Amino acid sequence: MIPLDDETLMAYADGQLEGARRAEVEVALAVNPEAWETVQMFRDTRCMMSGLYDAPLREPVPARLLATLSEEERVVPLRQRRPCWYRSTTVPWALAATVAACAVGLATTGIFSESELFGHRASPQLADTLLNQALDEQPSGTPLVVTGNGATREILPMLTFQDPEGRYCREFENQVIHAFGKNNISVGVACRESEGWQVQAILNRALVAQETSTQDYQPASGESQTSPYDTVLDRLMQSLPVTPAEEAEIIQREWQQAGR
Amino acid sequence: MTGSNDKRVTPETRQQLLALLPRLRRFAYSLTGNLDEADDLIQAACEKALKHLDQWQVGTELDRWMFRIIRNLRIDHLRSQQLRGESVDPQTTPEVANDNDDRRIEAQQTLEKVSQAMAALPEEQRMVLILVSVDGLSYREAAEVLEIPVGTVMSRLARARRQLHALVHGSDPSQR
Repeated sequence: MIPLDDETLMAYADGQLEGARRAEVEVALAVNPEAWETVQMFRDTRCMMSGLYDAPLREPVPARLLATLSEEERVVPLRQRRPCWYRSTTVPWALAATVAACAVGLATTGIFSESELFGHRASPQLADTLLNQALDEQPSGTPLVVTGNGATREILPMLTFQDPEGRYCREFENQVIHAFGKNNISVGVACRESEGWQVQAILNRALVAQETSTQDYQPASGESQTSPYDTVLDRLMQSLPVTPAEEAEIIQREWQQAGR
Repeated sequence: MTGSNDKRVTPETRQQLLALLPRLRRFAYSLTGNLDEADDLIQAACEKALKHLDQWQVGTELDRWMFRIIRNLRIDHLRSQQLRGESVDPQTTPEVANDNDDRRIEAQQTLEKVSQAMAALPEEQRMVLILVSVDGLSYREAAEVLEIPVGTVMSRLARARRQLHALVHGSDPSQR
């Protein structure tokens, strides 16, 4: 008769016994209530941990990890090549920034949709609902803040301009603050098409620690590589941003081109 | 079979690694009990993997190879702490999300007990438990990750689960 030791009973409970042995154990168990209890114990402990370590699955993979695996392997120190009229943002742009390529659909929380994490530079993607709403309705400098699922998402349109094709485009900042105190900040540029906002490029920034970010970080001077994000932005943004008054009017028109 | 040692990191491999990240992070988190430490561990593991990709035999499972790298780094880390005479913090218990929903409080309490019990287990038992019960590897796959015989995986796992059960339900683990 097959020995009903712990290892055998556990393998039975875990469904890791082959046909013949499995049948043998079943026969033996039928007349051994004590061993049957042990099987229940192993079943119990099998599911005990479910959910316990899922915290990392509920938040997006941090940009620094994506950066490690990014094909670009390019670290952009700070945005340096801003035209002089470029609006200074409220975010301390410290630390390394990296374009995270190929991060499609890695992790999602309720308010952090997949398209949010994408990194396709080649093909623009349709903005998710919240981003669409924020870009449609919020004047530059006024964020849309939504809280849910243990995270807060803040979308801040930064400026509005017209690209060479005449489309309206906006640069925005997107921030997700998690209950764990983790931050995920990205900036992106989207252009308005008839069906909604198309995100043209996005740049993720990992703010590892708040203290570091408040320090005055001096970027390495001299020639820095141009990030793919900046390349896209430079191509699109060849004119001055619209004024707040013009922007208000455009929002009023629901982003229709001014009829001439 | 070693195959050709192609050092080039193909886009496919990067994609595969990216897709593995959530699982790898959960594994690392279960070992460290701390998200920041877990991410440090994953970052180190990814860097190591990219550098030594030639040691990965194409055709074998990338996830198990990565688990092995993570496990080895973790052990190195614990050892270096011991060598430096630092007290080895067994594992801080993971934060179990607070939930005020009455129906879930009991489940929550059980989960907290499990979390504390896990932290009390020896590292080697915890690892095998996590690989099999959390990540769902077979005994054979876990043996491959831990580089130990399947029999050892099974005896460790059985001991760990008796221990866990006893700690959570408050009975004597040695009692059969």
